[in-house]
Amino acid sequence: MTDTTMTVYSTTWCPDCHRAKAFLKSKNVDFREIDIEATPDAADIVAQHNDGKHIVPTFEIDGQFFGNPTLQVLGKLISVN
Amino acid sequence: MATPENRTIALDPTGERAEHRKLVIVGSGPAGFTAALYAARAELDVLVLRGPEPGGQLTLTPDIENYPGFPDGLTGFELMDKMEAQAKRFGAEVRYGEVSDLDLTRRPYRMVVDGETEISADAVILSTGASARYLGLANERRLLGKGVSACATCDGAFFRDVELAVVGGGDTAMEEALFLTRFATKVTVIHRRDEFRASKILQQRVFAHPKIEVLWNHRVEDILGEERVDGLALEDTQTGSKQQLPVGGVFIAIGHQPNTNLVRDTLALDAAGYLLTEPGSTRTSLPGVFACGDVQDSIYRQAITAAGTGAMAALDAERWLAEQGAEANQETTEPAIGRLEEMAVSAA
Ligand SMILES: Cc1cc2nc3c(=O)[nH]c(=O)nc-3n(C[C@H](O)[C@H](O)[C@H](O)COP(=O)(O)OP(=O)(O)OC[C@H]3O[C@@H](n4cnc5c(N)ncnc54)[C@H](O)[C@@H]3O)c2cc1C
Repeated sequence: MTDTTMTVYSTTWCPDCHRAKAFLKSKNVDFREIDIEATPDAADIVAQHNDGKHIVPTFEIDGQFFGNPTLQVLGKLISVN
Repeated sequence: MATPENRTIALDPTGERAEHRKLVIVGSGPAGFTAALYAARAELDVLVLRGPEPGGQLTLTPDIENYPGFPDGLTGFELMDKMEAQAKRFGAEVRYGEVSDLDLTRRPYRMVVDGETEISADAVILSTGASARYLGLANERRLLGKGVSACATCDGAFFRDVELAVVGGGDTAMEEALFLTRFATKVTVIHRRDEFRASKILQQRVFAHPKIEVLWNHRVEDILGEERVDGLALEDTQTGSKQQLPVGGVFIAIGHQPNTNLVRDTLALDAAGYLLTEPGSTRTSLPGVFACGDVQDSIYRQAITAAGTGAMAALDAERWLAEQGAEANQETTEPAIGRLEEMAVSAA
């Protein structure tokens, strides 16, 4: 798990982002966070991988993107990686 | 959400492999965490399952002004983090996971979490809350996430400098409209009647707000737009005349439906799908199964009332478990004898 790189694209106000981050912390998963409203181009990256939608949180795990998966799916993603 | 279509498991008929708990609380909103606090303080072995929306509906709101004890207000997350911490302080175990199937036909009761882990329980407290209701239009589904939303705090900030509409007339609609004024140039509240159900204080704020306009007696016939929402087709409910309203987004706030899919064949529900409880208690139509919060309350639907009935549910469960004594732990394949028919009849 330690050599996985996980990036969370989020905003400061989104409830699902807050929940997902709490979930990752409870599982001791390290992640980098990018505020898509404060970081140039980040919103475009998110839209590009989500059928044009600004979905937050979007996770980038080892180069693959996942737009707001359920916590159950997220749990599977981090246990596989 | 668990729907009958995605029910995944066949429950292990002997239940031998299942983890067993005295009390399982399904849901982590104010009702579930308050029940957990009371049950943990009574030294019951209690497990809370967070479900698909940890913290519940309150986590969707940035300011709670009407939960007593917090005179300066606080965010939904702050309040729910505090409730969780308080329940844990007395020993409640809180776990991620959604109940995907619940077998209440025999005792101990059994449930499957996330389609894979089985847990059995002597007593169950259901605090699965409610979820937003939609209009049911085909284009609403198609454009969900592309200008259609049921949660201003989740999506509102993506709608800067556009005109928006909110559909509904209750507290949620008022809160959504007020919140959206932070981003939108104008917010039109569309309501099919000529008065709001919302509390007076919220109505007054809506009426006084320079960016909000109210369109009474109108019904949304369709949501327009190819790739994104660009307008609404409306009908005047008095005259039948039609008009289009150009908007960049529409927020649906027409109420909530109780999350009772799991138990709709096993517990008594009212006509709208809310769990029925015996008046003055949290007892459902089956012994040892209790319900609290929005899942059994179509009237008040507040954090404080959810917490209040959560406390009741824990006290009811504690008393029931004590009465059962050792009996409750005994495996039985007899179907639990319910008062389902009786309650369904008296509710009709
Ligand atoms: C936008 C908004 C703003 C609001 N503002 C206020 C306010 O300012 N003040 C106020 O008093 N009230 C407010 N409310 C109402 C308040 O949020 C609810 O009355 C309250 O949250 C109900 O609590 P509950 O515990 O019954 O259910 P909920 O909060 O709905 O929680 C239900 C829980 O059940 C879980 N769950 C569901 N299905 C399953 C399953 N199958 N397995 C496991 N768990 C499951 C969910 O994950 C969730 O944790 C607001 C509601 C909304 C939507």
